[in-house]
Parts: sequence; structure tokens; C-alpha cells
Amino acid sequence: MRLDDSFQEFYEANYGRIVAMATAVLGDRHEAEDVAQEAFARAFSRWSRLGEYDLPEAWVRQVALRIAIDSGRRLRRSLRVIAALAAQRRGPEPETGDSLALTRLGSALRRLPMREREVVVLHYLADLPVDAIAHERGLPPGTVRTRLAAGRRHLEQELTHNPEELTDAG
Amino acid sequence: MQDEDLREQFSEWARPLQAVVPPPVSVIRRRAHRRTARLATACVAAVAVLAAGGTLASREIGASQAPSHQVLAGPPRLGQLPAPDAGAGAAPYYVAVSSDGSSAGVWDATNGKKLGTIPAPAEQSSQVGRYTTIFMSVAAAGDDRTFVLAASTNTSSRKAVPVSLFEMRLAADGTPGPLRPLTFPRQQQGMVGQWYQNIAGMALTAGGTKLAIATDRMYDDKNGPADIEVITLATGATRTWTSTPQAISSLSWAGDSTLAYACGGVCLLDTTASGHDLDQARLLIPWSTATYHGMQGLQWPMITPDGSAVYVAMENGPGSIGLVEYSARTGRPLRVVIQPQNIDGAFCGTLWSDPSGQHLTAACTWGTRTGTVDNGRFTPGRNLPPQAPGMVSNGAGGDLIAWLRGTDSQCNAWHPRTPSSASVDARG
Repeated sequence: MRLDDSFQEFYEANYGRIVAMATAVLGDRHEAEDVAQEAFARAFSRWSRLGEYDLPEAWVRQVALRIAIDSGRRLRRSLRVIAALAAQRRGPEPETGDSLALTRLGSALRRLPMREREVVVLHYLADLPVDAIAHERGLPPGTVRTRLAAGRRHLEQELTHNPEELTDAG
Repeated sequence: MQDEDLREQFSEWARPLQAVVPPPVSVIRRRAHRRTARLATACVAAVAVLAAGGTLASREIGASQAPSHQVLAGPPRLGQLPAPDAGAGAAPYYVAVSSDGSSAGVWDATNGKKLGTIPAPAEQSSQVGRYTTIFMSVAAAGDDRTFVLAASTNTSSRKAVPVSLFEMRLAADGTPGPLRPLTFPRQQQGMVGQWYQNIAGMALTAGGTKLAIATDRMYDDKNGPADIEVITLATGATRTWTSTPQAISSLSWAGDSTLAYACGGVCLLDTTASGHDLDQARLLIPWSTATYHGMQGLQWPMITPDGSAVYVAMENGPGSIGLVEYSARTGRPLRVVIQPQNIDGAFCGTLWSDPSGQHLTAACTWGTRTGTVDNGRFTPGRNLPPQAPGMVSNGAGGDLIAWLRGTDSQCNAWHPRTPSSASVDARG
């Protein structure tokens, strides 16, 4: 299989998963797609080597997560600017997944601190065990467990105390 | 709610997104090519700058002093440690917090022997009632004898709870002394803050004069700003810097004034400057633009005590992580100290460096990579037990180095004054 073909196969098989993970972290599907494309672009640049890994998706997931966290930070810092610009222009037409951030789970996720959100997403969405999360994030397993337990507790409380599902995708 | 219920909710939530049709792969190719062109331009510029700055960098390293160590003649007050006494030999000790925080252990880094156990403080009182405590973090001064441990409540309460600080000194033979609560005039019983039991990082200056604590503040379980608090231990004077919500970790000091930390990228805070806005700290190395020899990403930054260099772990593939030296003045990469290795799941970081940057400790899950750097050549040091997952003290410019390995929770340590060229596997 040619390198380009193997990358395309990998890309098409994993794009949705990376977008879902980035959306869960960022709460913004459009930003998440940008993050996913940037991560796959970086993967493409080094595919001759990356394609030989057993789990190239782990690399893309790590890169995407870091870009997402960085992107989320920039987003928060420029919140006022974004809000001002958004008020001046008409938003894009809603697309698939736009409303996801406004579901109960999406809203609850957005209220989690980032450190908890990332491990919760990796555990429950990417199905990674604690040790694998510790490796990917460069954290002691005990820290991952602590953050996971706190994130789960907070999610449960959010989901229990705020049962109304928001359905307006705006 | 069961784990499986939550997993199912996530699965349902993500299903529409996972089914999204990706844009044509040509979009990714074009983006990759644009990125490559940008990096090529940046590399040409970096090579030119490095060529021009090479002589200067060599002079800085060559002029630096060898690592120093000291033995305390008596128990000086915290914050008034004597200056390091070059040439005095002593066993390097380190303190590691157990994985559940119920105790901390003291270890001899030269042979891996456990010297003592310090149980977490008994019940404490606070405005939220009485509670049992667990150790949260530990920091070491440069003398390898003086440690500060942070403890907090072991509760599932979502209310803010206090963090208490304790000083612990080791006897000359490494026997742990009692925990002494640190009390400051302005604060109750070592209470650092009212935020929710999350200490993201802690570092003590080499002389033990100042303690920096990073916390992620939470109010009513909502994201809060990150804080860095610097306490002058002799007087209790405290300064706090606050940022917009973000994750801060890996604190390290250069001298008594500059604090380096991971802020996504690497940030430097001049603690002598005016102001309290952490967002105004200098972003020395932006995460998004940091690339070097095909490596990217920044983890575990550590500044040298003389403030000349910052070591960061970078990767060029999953588990393929090496160590890069950056100039702490320009934020530019200077050299690859440890070449990345392709072993899945690895991570690597620096916990200690002498002022010259010639002796440093790096931890990598793919093997022991502690040792010395001489003229860019890395000589491995030794690898020691014990199993001590959790927080481990580092040397704050002293001779003590300890860190965790990710895969097996093995604790490693290295003493730069007695570097060994042989890797010692002392597991079990």
C-alpha cells in the first residue's frame, strides 16, 4: 500500500473520533474540526515514520488533545473579542453535531475543569485505561485516578442536579 | 451512576460526531505543506541565530560552576539555610509521597534504602469541621535535608478546604524529623488558600527562602483562575499572581526571583516585578510554535538555578520523547540533550540541573537517562528504587534528584556529585 493510501485510510477511519474528542474538550465543534485537521496535517508530515507505529492514532490523539487545550486557553483569553465579533456577524448554519455541546452531557463537560475534563474524555470517550492516560499525558497514575474520580463525581452531580436537556442548538 | 452508564452516555453523545464525513484528504495535505514551508523558514532563521550565538552559549556554559552540596551543622530556621558549601559530601535524600497520600517516605538516593516513613498528620480542624489529611505535594530545598510537605483533607466534600504546610528536616543520617506546622502571621496554621484541594505544583528555592505553590482554584465547582503564591518563609510575606483559567504545573526556581512553569508552553514569572496578573508573565516558549529537529510539544520544563537554560521534554512520535535545552533568555532551542527514542508510552522530563547545565537529571520511561552532559554528550547515571508513585521532591538546585517512571511507578534518583557512567538496574 502506498504511503498516501495508508494515510488516507487512517485519516478517514479516525477523523470522526478525533473530532468527537476535541469537541468534548473544547465544547465547540468548529474549533474541534480545526484542531483535528491540524493534528492530521502534522501526522501527514511524518507519516513515513508514524505509519509504522502500532497505534498511530495515539499520536494523533495526543497532538489533538494538546492543540485543543492550547486552543481552549486562547479561546477563553479572547472571549470578549470573539463575543464582540460574533455580535456583529451572522453565525454559520447549524451542522451535524453543533447541538451536542448543549446536551446535558455537553453542558456538564464544559463545567469541568480542564484537568478533569481531559482525563474523563480520554477514559470514557477514548476508552483508555488509567495507565494509558498516565502515559499519554505524562502524569502519575495516581493523579489520573484522582482527577478521574473528581471529574466523575462532578459529572454525576451535574447530570443529577440539572436534568433538563438543552435542545436549542441555536 | 455506574461507569458503564457514563460510558454509554458518552458513546451516545459522540455518535453523530464520529459519523462526520471528513474533508477530502487533499485539505490535510495542503495544510501539511503550508506548515512545512513555515517550519523550513523558521529553521533557516534559527540556524543563523544559533550559529551567531554559539560562541556566547559555549562561554556561558564553560564559565559556570560545578554543582555544590552542603551538610547542615545544625537545624537552621527554614528560610535561613546557609549557602551551599561546595565540596562537602553527603548522601542525597529525597522524599516521596505514597500513592494514596497517607504517608511519605524518605530514601537514600545512593543505594535506594528507605530511611523512614512519615505518616500524614492526624485529624485537623478547619471551618469545614474535622478531617483526616493526606499529603498532596512535597518540595525540597537545596540542602537535601529540608522539605516542605503540603497536606489537605481527604474528603469528597466539594467545599473549599485549607491546605496546610509542614516543614520536615532530616537528621544527618537521613532519619526524618517531626512535622512542624508552618505558621505565618497573616495566615492561620499554614493555610495557604481556600481553594479546592488541588496543588498543581510546588517548589522551594535552593536556599529554602521562598516557597512557590501553584493551585487551580475552583469556586462552586466551576473553573477558576490559576494562582501562583510565593511565600517568603522567614516572614510569612505572601504574594499571589492570578491568571485566567488554565493548567499550571512543573514549577522550578532560578535563584530566588524567577519562577519557570508549564503553562501549555513555558512561562517565566519575575516575582520581583510589580503586578499580580499571571497572564502578564513572559511566555518564553509558546507550545504551538515550539519545534526542533522534528520534535514538538513541551512537557516538564525545568529552569536551571542560574536562569540560563530551560530543559523540556519534546516528542517526535507517540512515546518518542527526548530532551531539548532552550535558552531561558531568548526562548530559542540550543541543542538536543537526549535524542528521542521510539518506545511506546514513554515520557521524559528533567528534575534537576546544576547551574552550568552540564549535570542534569532526566527521567524517561524508556530507560534510565540520568547523568551528566559534557560538550553535548550525555553520560547515564544510576537507576534506583523504591516504588514510590506519587509526588517526589526534587533538589531545587541541590544535589538531590528524584522522579517517577511512568510505566512501572519506579522511583529513580541520581546524585550528580558521584555520577556513574554505568546504568544500575536496582529494581526490586
